[in-house]
Amino acid sequence: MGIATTVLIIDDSLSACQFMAGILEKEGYRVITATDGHEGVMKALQERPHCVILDVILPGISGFEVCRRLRANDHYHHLPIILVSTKNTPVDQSWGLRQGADRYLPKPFTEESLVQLVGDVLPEHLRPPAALHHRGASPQRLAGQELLLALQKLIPRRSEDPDLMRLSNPLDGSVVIPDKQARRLYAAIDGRKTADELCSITHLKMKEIHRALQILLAQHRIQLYTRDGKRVDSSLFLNGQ
Amino acid sequence: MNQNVCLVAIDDNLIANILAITLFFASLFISLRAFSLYIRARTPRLLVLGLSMGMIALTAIASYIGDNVTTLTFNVKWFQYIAQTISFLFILLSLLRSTEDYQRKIVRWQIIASVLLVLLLVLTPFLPKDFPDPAVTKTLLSGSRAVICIIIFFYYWIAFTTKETSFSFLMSAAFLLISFGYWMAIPKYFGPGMEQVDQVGDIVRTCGILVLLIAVSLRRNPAKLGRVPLQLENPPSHA
Repeated sequence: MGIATTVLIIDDSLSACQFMAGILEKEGYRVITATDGHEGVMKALQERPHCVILDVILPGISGFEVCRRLRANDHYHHLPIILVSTKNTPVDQSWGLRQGADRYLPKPFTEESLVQLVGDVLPEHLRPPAALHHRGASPQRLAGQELLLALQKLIPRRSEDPDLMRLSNPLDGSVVIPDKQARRLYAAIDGRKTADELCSITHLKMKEIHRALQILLAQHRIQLYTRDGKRVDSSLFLNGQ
Repeated sequence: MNQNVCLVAIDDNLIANILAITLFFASLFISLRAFSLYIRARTPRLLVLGLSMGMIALTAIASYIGDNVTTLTFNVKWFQYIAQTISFLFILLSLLRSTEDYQRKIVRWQIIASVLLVLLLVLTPFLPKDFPDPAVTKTLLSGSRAVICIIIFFYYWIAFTTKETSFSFLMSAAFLLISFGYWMAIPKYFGPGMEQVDQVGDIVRTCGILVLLIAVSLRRNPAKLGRVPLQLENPPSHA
């Protein structure tokens, strides 16, 4: 292996930086840190990291602004950026992703979810061997029957679109759900019923529900939650992610 | 002044009729488009918009009939003022929050309100022709539309200052013009000789409606939609 995969962590909390750095270094990544937005942008330009983990609330310029500035630079169009924050309402997450971030990781998070997410956003050749090994045992490998079983217990909720009719024209056709089954499922989603319960209401088979959920997840029309209200990483259920 | 006199000389009802017809077709177009998209998108905001604009189209045609059909008694002003106020109010309410529960509640309340308004329309021939204390009542009923429209204008203006989009700009312009049009209708309730102001108000409102129509006819740049094109590996078999 030549140059180590570099991850830049921008977080004003030193303990959070150390926590994340410790986890990632153990996985074989080279980690650099910055404690405010300006320093973060500067280090990103100097060090050319392969991935950036960015706290939303930072002194000086916010994580959103850092994200926008990096994306505005041609060299960083495809740089994987993960936003981390305690601000984890669907609106915050959707806003964060709109600023150009690839993923949004709500705080507090586990060691596994951080490693998992960094591994997800990096191309395979940039993942250190330890991280690749980690991915082998991850829930990313959910497939077939196992995936459907997991999905049955989850609750889909409609994503909020605060910009619709405020900043964007609701009549321009972009809100249309082209797939009939996905539309039927979307109409039945009330934020309380599990995928299993939606099966009986919509008279769709579980495989059809899975496919319809994939369409709605890919369009960012819904999010998946566990019964106790924890948000589930939708990429686990998307093919080819 | 001469121009204003000229406006009156054309025809007392001409400008009001042009406004009613423009409002009718524009609202009907927006309403039908919103309903057709709602069927394919299931977004409650579209239903609220469809119902509101449908009701406004109904007020426009009722107003046209009320002004032009003299053989029958249609006291449509009650329906016109109240229905327009409530319709704009629901548009405003639907903008305030995006949560699913809130939007569903708005839809539920709007359906109830729409049924009551249709009932009010049916009762039009039996409603009193004159308003009690006409100046005050008409000012309150008509002015409430202006107040709601000006709030919607501010809402879109703030949205535009947050992020400049042509949609929010045109919507704010449309609601500003519509609101001004409604404000200009108020002086005529307080005495004769202000009909010209009312007619200018009608023209301003017609312009507002046309701007509204342009705003909802805008197409978004597909590159900026932020939607991820889905590529399913293999659609599951239904066996």
